[in-house]
Amino acid sequence: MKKASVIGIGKTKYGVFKEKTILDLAVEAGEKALEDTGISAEEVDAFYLANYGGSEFVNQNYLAPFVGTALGLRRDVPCIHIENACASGGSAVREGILAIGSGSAKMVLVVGVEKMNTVTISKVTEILAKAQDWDNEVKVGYTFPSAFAMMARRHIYQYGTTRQHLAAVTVKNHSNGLKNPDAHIRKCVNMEMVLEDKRVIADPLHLYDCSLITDGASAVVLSEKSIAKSFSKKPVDVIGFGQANDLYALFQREDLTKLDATIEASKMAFMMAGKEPIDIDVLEVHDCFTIAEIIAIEDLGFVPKGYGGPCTLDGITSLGGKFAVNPSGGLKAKGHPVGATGVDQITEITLQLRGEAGRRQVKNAEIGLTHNLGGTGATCVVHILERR
Amino acid sequence: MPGVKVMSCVLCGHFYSPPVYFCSSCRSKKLVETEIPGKGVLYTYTTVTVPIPTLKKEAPYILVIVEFKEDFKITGRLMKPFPESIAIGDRVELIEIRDGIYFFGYANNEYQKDEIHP
Repeated sequence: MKKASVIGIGKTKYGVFKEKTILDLAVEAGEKALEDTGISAEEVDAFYLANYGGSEFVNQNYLAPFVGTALGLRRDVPCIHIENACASGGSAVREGILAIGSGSAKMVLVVGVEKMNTVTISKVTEILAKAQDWDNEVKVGYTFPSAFAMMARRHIYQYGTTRQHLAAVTVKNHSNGLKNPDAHIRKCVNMEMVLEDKRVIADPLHLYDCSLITDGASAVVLSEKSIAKSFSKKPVDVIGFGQANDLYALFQREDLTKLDATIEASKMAFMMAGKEPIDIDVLEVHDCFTIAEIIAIEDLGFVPKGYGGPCTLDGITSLGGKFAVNPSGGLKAKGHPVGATGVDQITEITLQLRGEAGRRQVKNAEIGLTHNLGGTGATCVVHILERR
Repeated sequence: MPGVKVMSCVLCGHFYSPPVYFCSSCRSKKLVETEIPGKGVLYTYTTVTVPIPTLKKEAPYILVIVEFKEDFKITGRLMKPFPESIAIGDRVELIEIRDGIYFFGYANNEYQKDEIHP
């Protein structure tokens, strides 16, 4: 299989953009990535578009050729829509890598986009809930926060994780987001503010434990590794990837303090890359809720099971810590435009490995990892990237 | 107390609810319907304050995942009135099944099943 490299990245600012259409967002990110690569849209051989809820948020389905038309892709370019809930972006990047690997495309464009601020919060909750088992979970009363709340409750019970541990994730990610000019929310949030906040969503999770409802798009250009250098001064190589699944509904799983999809996907990615957690300098993990980041760093093998909370509180995962987690601000502060998230994790790690991440730069970052979850963990996509 | 309708694997005895197409423990497709007593322990729970639009009138409500000694879990809601304190490991039992949703409660609590609520 041919190896792939990231040779261009682009993204919109993340936030609430009432005046921009989903097409505006997707095209802006796509064009920025092409510009960053120094190629025109006509040089793209395959196009993957990641989006979760277009048909409900903006009444637009069949988005891949829609965006492809607006970008001006050639007629012989396959335009493919990937929907895999919150892991749509990571899944689309992986498909792009496979298209390069198979030799069917030399140059792949992947765009992830979501425009969510078009309906009430209650309606957003319902649209997102459709990535759970409708008959056996949503009808009973499940929402996304409630599912992760039940994981949190169990993690607290089994490992003594505390509110303070969860809050440490919030405080860290907001601190990082403050350094990211594209982040959705840029404000200083301290431990006191989080612990005193009374806005419970699904106990033990409060508003500060939840990621944001964000509009935005992100894009990457992938090429064969062998030609990457002729397009990018600082190509970033994909050295490992893995995608795995888990039982769909929470009650079907044996242990709710871990996510098997993360464990399996990361095992595959580490094996392919010939690396271990100790080799990784920087990570973007799927912190849709604070507990998800704690469980992720445990399941990825960076800290022992049950130590995710204490290690976060100790600053191990902060900028300047042993391994920086979510320097972008993560889904908590940078924002979570569902279909864009997995693609954006790749743009952030690429920026970090290029040494172009500005105030949030992880010093001498050589190898980075992305972790993208779908649904309540029935999908996980992991990528490992390395600078040359 | 109503029982829980489950599918039971003829070969290895694993239980499933709702029905499944095969036994994920031994991959057998031979499953039969049976009923077991609706008694289990709380595996985890949460109180939902921000529900989907159609459940707004019912919030706040408590979601539960209940573990059975037969080594499987089912999910449902806690019946009102809620007890003063709830903890993982509490013994709960099935009070009623309404619109296909399992409502669990505590043995020493009094429930009025015909109330139009949960």
